[in-house]
Amino acid sequence: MSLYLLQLLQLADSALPIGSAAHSFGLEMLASSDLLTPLTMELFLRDYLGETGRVEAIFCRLAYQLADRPVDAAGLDYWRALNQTLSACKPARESRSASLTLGRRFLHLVASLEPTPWLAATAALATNSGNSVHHSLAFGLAGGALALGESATVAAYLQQLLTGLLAASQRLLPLGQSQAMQIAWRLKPTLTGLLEQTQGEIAQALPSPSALLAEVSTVQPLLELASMRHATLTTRLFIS
Amino acid sequence: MALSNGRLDLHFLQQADRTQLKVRVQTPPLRVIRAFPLPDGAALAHLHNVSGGVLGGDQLSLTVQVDPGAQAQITTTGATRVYRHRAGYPAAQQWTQITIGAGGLLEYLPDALIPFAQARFCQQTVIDLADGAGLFYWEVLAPGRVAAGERFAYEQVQIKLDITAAGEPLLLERALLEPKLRPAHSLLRWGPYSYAATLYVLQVGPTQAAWLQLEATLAQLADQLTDPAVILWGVSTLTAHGLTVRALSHTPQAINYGLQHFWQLAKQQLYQRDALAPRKLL
Repeated sequence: MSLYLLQLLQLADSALPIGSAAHSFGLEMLASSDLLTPLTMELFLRDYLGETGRVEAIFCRLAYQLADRPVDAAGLDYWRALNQTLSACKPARESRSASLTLGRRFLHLVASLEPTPWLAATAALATNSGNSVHHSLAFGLAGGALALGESATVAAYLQQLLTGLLAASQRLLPLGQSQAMQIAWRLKPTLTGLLEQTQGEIAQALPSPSALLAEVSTVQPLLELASMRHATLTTRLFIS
Repeated sequence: MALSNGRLDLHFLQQADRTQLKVRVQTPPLRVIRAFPLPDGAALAHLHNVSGGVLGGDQLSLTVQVDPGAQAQITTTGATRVYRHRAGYPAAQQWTQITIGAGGLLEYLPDALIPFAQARFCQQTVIDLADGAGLFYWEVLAPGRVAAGERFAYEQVQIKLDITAAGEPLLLERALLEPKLRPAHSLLRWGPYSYAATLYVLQVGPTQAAWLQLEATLAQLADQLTDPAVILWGVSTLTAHGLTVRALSHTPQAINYGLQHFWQLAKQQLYQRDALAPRKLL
């Protein structure tokens, strides 16, 4: 049994104490407005993975690859720039804050488990200078620092993203456990497709993968509006 | 048929207590006749596209420089109609670069973008703000020629927007709309709505706490103006120096009405004076 596999399973576990169960990333608002239903859930998640999932997967991969570089000023500047760029790609404050909160907690937790040079340096940067840390970037960096395998790390990140949204949906909608499991199972090919797609996109962008970031697009105005309007709900189960 | 490479280069400069417009370059089909003085000292310019719209393959370029302390308002003379793609030509492109100097203010309020059936269009906008600079900028995207029964019948619309403050990224929008490949009515995208609008409100200087306060003020207006049967409004602060107001709507009228109210309220809060709407909006 591979130690790496066990570590990856633990980092992607919904029981990891970083607070991911407290966030719906706009789903709560969509559900409360009766737009999101058990019947529309699977198609919504497929679209979500194709847009948000793709962008997060690209950032996750770039962070994984960063861990191959030495921990120096240029590397840390690039780390800051990746996080700043991802923040600028997230116009809805609640969803942006959720990603940052989860990222910071994840990074500190993993750095406490395995204080490799990259994890220790970026955790210190977050503590000392308030450097923003997004979840997908922290996950990718941890995968790289622990040599868990790039595609395996991205797959684990996307899997926990999907199961987190499904778990939130089960609390918001009359969506049964079996139904949720069937949806998660049927979406596996979407996840593997994303892995291949993002691997190819980054390979094509080499030797300057960050140029890819200038072209990465997402089109999700209704989800962003839902996130922006979430705070107006009188009763809320989730922070975002 | 030759490609149209229209170019417009506008320079707003402050002279005494008024802003003046200097047109550095203008080549057809883009044109500005003259600037109109506004009561608050700003200069208002109307952008004309004398060909009546963006033709397949057009490569259009707009450069706007607002000098330190200058105040400019730019609008269009009508909706930007993007005609169908012409085989053998590249996608039509509109490239806009805007720089706003320290303490300058730009209110860029174009009419809606209407991509016709089979249109291919790329709009790339880069905006940089210096210390104390301000920006009110809105974009409205129609689903097509609705009166002719066209909704999301265009082939591709790409919208790229970079807003930076002294080079630091505040907002990066990258939207690639291909309704035939990725349905617009997904719950992620337009859902049941057809029109989209965004208003960006920026000023380099106020603290994030001040922006959160303005977000709360505008969110109240968003609540008042939201009627899910017609339109949804939402407000959110950006990473720093600004916020964004978004809408999805069944009608363009609800968007135009709301945008003016958000602009008015945000201008009053940030600049302690009224927004002076172009007469066509009144």
